[in-house]
Amino acid sequence: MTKQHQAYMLLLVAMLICAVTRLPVRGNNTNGSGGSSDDGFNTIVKLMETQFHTKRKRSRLMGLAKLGVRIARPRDVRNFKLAIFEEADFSTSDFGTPLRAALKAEWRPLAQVRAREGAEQTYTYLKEDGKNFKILIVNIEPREATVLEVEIPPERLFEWLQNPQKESQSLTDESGDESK
Amino acid sequence: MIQLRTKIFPSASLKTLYLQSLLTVFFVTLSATAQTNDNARLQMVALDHLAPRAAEVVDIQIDERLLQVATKYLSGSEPDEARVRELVAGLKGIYVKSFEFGEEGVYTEADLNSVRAQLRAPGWSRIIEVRSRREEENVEIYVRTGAEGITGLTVISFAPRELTVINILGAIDLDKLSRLQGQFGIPQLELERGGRAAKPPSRKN
Repeated sequence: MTKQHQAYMLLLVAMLICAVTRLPVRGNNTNGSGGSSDDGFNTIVKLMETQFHTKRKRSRLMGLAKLGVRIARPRDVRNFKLAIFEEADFSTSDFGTPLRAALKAEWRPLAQVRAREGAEQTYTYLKEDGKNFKILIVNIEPREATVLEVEIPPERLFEWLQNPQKESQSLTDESGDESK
Repeated sequence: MIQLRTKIFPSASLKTLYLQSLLTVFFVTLSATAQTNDNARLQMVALDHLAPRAAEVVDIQIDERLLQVATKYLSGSEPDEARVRELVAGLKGIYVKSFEFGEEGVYTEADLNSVRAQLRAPGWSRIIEVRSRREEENVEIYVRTGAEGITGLTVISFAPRELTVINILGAIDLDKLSRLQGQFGIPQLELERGGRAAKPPSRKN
């Protein structure tokens, strides 16, 4: 190979690298590939337990909470999963970063609200699950936290998009009230 | 690699093959650049450092796929749903980042410029700028136009204790924006129908 050929080859390789690196990444989000399971709920419950050195509340009333949400929204909510954490220090400046890192890319962030200087944080993630959508809501207050996963039919998706903050808040409040 | 290529194209000279390869790479690069430029979505990560100092942060991300699926199930016969369906038709994404601060001076001009710099890209132009010295409230509205018309809209609204950036992708105009207020995480911009921005956002949703 002559020097001229080598120069051509180098130029070709350099341009190929440029072309490839400029191509937009499609499909998978590069964020959040760290989840060990595609079950967002269990992943986040484990993350909460590790991060805040606490355990989820085990109570027979949890069944009532599920029932309550089913009755309140019989058409809307399916496969309801709820974990409540109490009596721990949840005051953290930002739970969003570890949360996003733990969830697989198929969980897409929909809404994140952090209010009153860390006093309350609500993160809403969404994932397509066949024809339906799974919604994962993590609500953190200084002394208690809730992880909630529900499945909604696609007909309900628009309401969630129209007001993700309100929908997340009302569902979290309903489940919290029922479990007390 | 050279030997392999000359075997595949035995009649082509090495120099011709090089030229073909270079042209291919050139067009791939050009195509990739065009695709990148086609994306009107703003990068707002430069504002994330403000979050720990904010009294309230709202971050909404609704992509095209979600909008498509959601509108698919809206009834075209119900007047309300048909109206919403028409409103959202042509939108390819809604992204809102909003901060409320407990004190003044948390964000700087550099933070605003991190967003404005992206709006200097080809296609973007500022159509409205409202400065209220008395109330210290400011609104800037930018639209992105392409061959197919408006392909994006960005609102930067800021006051001493508030900063909001709204980035909507797709076919959107001020009339549509005014009707989207209070939905999809878009705060009330007090936009009057016809397109005048009167007041910065207040969250009433």
